[in-house]
Amino acid sequence: MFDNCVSKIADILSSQSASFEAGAPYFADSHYKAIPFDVSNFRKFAPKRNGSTLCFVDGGNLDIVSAPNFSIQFLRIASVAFKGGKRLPLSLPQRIESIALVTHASDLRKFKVQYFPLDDGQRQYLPQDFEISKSSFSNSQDELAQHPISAAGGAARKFAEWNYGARIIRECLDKGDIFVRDGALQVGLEGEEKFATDAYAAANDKGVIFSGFAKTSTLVTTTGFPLTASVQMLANKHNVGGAWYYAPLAENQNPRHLGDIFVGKFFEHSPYAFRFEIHNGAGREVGAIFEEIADNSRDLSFPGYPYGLVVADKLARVEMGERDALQARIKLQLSRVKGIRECIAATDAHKIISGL
Amino acid sequence: MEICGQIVSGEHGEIFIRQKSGETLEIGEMLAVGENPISIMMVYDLTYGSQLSQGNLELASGMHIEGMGAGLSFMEENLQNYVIAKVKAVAYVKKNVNGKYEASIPKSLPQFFSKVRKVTSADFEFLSDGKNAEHSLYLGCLRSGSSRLKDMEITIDGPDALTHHILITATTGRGKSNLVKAMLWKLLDKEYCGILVLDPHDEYFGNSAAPGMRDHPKAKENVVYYSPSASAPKGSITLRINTKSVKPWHFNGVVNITDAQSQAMHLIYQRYRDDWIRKMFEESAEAASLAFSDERTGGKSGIEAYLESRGVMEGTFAALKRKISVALDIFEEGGKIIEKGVFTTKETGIGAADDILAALESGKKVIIDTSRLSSYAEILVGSIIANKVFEKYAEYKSAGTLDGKPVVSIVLEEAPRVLGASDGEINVFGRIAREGRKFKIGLIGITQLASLIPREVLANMNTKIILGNEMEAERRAIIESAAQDLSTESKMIASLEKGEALVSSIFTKFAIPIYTPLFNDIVKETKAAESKQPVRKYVGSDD
Ligand SMILES: Nc1ncnc2c1ncn2[C@@H]1O[C@H](COP(=O)(O)OP(=O)(O)OP(=O)(O)O)[C@@H](O)[C@H]1O
Ligand SMILES: [Mg+2]
Repeated sequence: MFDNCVSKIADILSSQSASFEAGAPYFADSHYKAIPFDVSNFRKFAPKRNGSTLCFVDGGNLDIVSAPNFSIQFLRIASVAFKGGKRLPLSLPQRIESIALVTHASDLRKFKVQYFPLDDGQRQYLPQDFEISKSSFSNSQDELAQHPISAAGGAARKFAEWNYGARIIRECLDKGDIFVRDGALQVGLEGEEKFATDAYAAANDKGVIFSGFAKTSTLVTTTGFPLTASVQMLANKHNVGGAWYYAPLAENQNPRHLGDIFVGKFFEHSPYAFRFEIHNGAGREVGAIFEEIADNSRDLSFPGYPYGLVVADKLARVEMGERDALQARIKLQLSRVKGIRECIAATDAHKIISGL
Repeated sequence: MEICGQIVSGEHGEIFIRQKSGETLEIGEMLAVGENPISIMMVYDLTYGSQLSQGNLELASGMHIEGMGAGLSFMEENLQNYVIAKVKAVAYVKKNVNGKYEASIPKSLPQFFSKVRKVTSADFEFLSDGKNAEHSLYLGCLRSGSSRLKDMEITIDGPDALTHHILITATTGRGKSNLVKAMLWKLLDKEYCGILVLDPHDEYFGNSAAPGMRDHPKAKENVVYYSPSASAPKGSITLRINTKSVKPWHFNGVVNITDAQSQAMHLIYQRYRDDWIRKMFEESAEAASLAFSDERTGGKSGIEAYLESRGVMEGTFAALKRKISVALDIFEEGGKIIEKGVFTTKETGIGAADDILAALESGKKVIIDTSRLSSYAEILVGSIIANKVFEKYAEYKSAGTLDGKPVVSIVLEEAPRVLGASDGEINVFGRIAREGRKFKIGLIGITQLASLIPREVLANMNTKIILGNEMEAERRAIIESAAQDLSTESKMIASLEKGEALVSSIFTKFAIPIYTPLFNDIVKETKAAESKQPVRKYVGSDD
């Protein structure tokens, strides 16, 4: 029965792709002016080391203990740098670890986020504590809508990533080096822009290329196809082999998205193409940037995806097992405090039920 | 300090160590954490570890072998893929302020994330701490995996180990005999024990082709060699045992005798005492020659008539005699007694058993070449001597003089022959296994098939020297009865090379991996050491 369903679904989907029309890139936001596909916009390149340092930054956060009135998050930001195919130790700590506490601010429309680094010495690498509108985390206009308090942990992490990235660029990188953050360059959260601007300023001051590598992309085309898939199909159709990148896709005038959008295939036999963005590509020949990234994307663990991001992700990831240990410790301490126990109980019940 | 790995996870008895790249850890290898105290650990299993998921690895391999992997490699091979060693802590050693070692069974885990190093001989100094060298029993040198720590000799306390029995197990050709030779060699100048070796392959004394105990500098004084062979090498004593030394109970558990036959045997013994066997053969030889002329007995010997008068069924005597005949290698043909083996009804060999007892009692090593004897005869010889020793030592014990006597140990090849399960009576070896320690008598059992020895006896063999064995069932039998928990060592035992062993004993803190050198090399070494000694011959000296 189940197989039957799946094969019907497969038929529908494949008939769609058979009638594939690449269409044109599609951007709902009027700040972008889509540029129709043109096969002459493919640029081929080969992996190459040009002597620059590649630095990758990623972060992770996980809700450890939460209640409707607070969320305790664990976050970890990590970096890794490569030069000449070898890991290059940086003078900054490789990992920044902190607890972030999200509570309701005295202005009840806002959350308050406070950082508590595990090592006090790392406070300097974290942003200032901040307040952020609850509406940032909900599409609903409804004043009474739930604003999940734990979502604010994501803001705590993102801000910390930008902040730490800026520090690395200032203190560890030099002209011609490439900084790669995990994710695209557009900023979405209230207050994020400030951090992005600071990081870009650092990059511009030092002549460092600032780029963003998106693992997944939600961009589509006018025919409803994923943008990266469309570019790939276009490449296949026109027999663009090997590693390539494609641009321009749009004229980008979004003040909250300061970068050029590319789609790149970093290893010939990889089934994946990725969205890749460069903030200040003008400073250096774009091809050379792709060459360097492709050189870092030749690891067998994930051919066609930067190894540096694989490592940064591993370093930053907060594992479930870790969470359990932290949770136990935090709960133990908090349960001694009157009033907190009851709050935790407010959201705990489903765990008890699922354990029955 | 050379780091070879780091503890990354695990639990008591199963600690995981990530191997440092460039190092090669082996199964059976000993590792250490710390300097003082030291945690000593043993590798019992190795697995691959990878930062990549199985699916990823398979994909990566696919890219390679399907020709799509050009230009791909592991960027940080050392970090991404590695070996994980499973180890268990075997000893925790502390050296206290006055330089004394305290070794204990580890009850806690070494510090998490500790760096791990390979062991050195110095880490095992505690093994020889406070040991009486005079009472040592040599087993070999310490081994860590396949590497040998030659300067770390492994010995155990001889009197303790010998009286609590030693079992040496391995499949054929893994070095059991070699190990026993090495042990004996090093015991030859030790007076604390007398050893009786029943040698069915005539391999311990040595000959012109292969060295043996006869090559020891102290051989003359301390080795006594019996052989039934007329062509035995110089220095040997021809083995003859007079049937006067053979008692009915010596057959217990050696020859399968029914109750009726046993009864008959005792009746005959009662009547003829020491001559009981001779009479059995002589009288029936006579009866045979008189068979047709003697109406009165109807061709029956006096013994038969006597037995029948005591209610023994007809035919019992014949069956008994047949069995004894086979065991003793004494036959009767056409009225003549023919003696094919070492047992004799003539006037020789009368004191042999006593001589052997005396030699053992004075701490000598007695080797009996039983290669030409039937298996029955061999065991019977052993049984006779063992009984004598047992009786004598029981006397000493009740007289309170046992303390001054050396330990006596009996080396038994193919031990299940005499220690194996039997429905009949327990033989003298079984008795020694169970209660010999009270009388300072022990066994050194050698076998390929430990599983044939009853559990109770196995459990009583308190030192097990386990050499290579690829048979799972055998390993299980040994492991189940070992003094330490060896449940994780099974694989390791399967992969032991010749001469490599694991010593599990109630007298060792942990199961010690050893290597016993090739006997020939030990002989050479002794000889070399000898020749370095100053020659003590002076002109005009008395000797
Ligand atoms: N420690 C050793 N190092 C190298 N070779 C050895 C060692 N011990 C034994 N050997 C070799 O292995 C062979 C068999 O050894 P040994 O006779 O001791 O085995 P075994 O276990 O007694 O065999 P079996 O079951 O046949 O009695 C010997 O010929 C010897 O050359
Ligand atoms: Mg042998």
